[in-house]
Amino acid sequence: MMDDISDITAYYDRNPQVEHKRLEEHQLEYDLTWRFLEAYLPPSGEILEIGAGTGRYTLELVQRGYTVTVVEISRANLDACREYLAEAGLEHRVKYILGDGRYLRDVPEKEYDAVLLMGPLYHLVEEGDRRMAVREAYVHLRPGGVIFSALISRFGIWGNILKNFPKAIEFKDQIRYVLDNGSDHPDWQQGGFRAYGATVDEIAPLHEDFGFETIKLVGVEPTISTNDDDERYNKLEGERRLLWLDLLYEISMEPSIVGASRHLLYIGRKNQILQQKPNNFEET
Amino acid sequence: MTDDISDIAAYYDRNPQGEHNRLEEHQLEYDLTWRFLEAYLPPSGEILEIGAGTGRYTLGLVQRGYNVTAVDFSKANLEACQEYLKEAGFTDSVQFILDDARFLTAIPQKEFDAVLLMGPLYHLVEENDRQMALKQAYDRLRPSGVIFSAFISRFGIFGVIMKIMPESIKDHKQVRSVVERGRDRKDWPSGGFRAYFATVEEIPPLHEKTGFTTIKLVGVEPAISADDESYNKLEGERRELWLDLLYEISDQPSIVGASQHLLYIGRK
Repeated sequence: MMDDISDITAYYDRNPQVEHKRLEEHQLEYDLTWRFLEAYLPPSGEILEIGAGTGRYTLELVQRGYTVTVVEISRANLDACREYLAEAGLEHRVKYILGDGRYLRDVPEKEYDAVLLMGPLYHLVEEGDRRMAVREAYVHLRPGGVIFSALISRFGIWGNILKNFPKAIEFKDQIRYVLDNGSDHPDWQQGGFRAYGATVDEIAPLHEDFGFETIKLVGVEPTISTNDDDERYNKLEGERRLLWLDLLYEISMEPSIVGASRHLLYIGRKNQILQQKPNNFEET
Repeated sequence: MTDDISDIAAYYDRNPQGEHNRLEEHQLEYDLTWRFLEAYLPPSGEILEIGAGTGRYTLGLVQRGYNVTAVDFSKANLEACQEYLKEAGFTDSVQFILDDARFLTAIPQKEFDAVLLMGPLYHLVEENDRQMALKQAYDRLRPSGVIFSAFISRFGIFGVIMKIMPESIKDHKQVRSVVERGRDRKDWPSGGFRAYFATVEEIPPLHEKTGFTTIKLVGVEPAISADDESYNKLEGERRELWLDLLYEISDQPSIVGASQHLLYIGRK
């Protein structure tokens, strides 16, 4: 049975600015994600962005010449996204659709060159729901098209919790449940940031089951764990910042540290459907 | 050929107090290492502690009833260790020996129940030297004796480097050398903390080649990157609960290497 996720919609509807500002604080997450988008997106084409939030990535995609269809479950996020693009005079370059990542009813039946699924898999706590979202992404991609999915890492979140909510450890049932299941204990109060923390091991299979070929699974915040660490990165400027980004990009795919990042990025490809070639020697 | 490591002895000789204080700042490293010592040491017996430093672990071992032979390569460290044990009234339970982990020439030929090799593998930058140290540890253990060896993690150190010396990223040669070889570039000025930074993947094979069976490889500072202070501030039950959680996730393969320090546990 599909989960009722209206509380998640409501969470974003209450304050879309929080989400918009989040990526100003998490600049490493944003910068590294862009490195991977630049490396694996086709040079041009149509992108389906499922869970576009307030348009942080949308705007840059449009500025880089892509045609973008945005899907978002929160109306406030979608309005903020349109507004953000309008400020840059680019709102007409984007198609805005209010929709649920699990069934993209209103999305045109066409084959996109790439899908960004950076958000829905943070929140869908039921495996069946995550599978539906990945499947929807798959069916909307052309053969050879690329998917970028973002997830929260179950073992990468604790440094920040230790620093900012050390008392959380005293909610023993909740802690146990998060470690074992990646989601909140059933009795945990709703209305907050209800999320799913994935293990590194489950992510590639989740995608490969539908026919994706895994390109990479990386941590987009390697070696940092708290908001203080974020600030240190945010303060870096000029060449020094780029050099750090080069190094962090390089180690972001090291298997022994991937899961220590708070956010993970999966990159996969929809298998090419190979054309049956005519049998040559039959012709001769 | 064995490496000339007199600069490393000199580093510790200059300031044994620096090493002694280090573990006050890195309390999670210390607390988690103890969790693993308690879990895998035999209940009693003879321990050979190679690279004992100033005795932070030595004292805890003696207080728990073990007989300890403490080996260190730095005379100043060894004297500080002796002094530290003496202050606690335990001089007689420990034998102090000045020696090099690669040779252990001065160590009595007997079979220890456990070896702690927590220090030498931080510093031996030549693989051959690391193998020599492990061979010595192996030879001094009784069959099924346990080894604990500590390493610095090559990909676990950059959070701290970004925190305390972000400008060092501009030394391209040095950064490449550390990422690719785990050690300083060839023309690096000597006299500082010359260290070896290991990859997670190389550690079990290094021990298994010597004959050890791997029990566990863990990160002893999981999840905290450069933020020791938040852990150090924890008190009472809250601290214990955090330690339980960090102990539990310390062997997760996807995060082990993000810890600054790694602990390998194996059996002869």
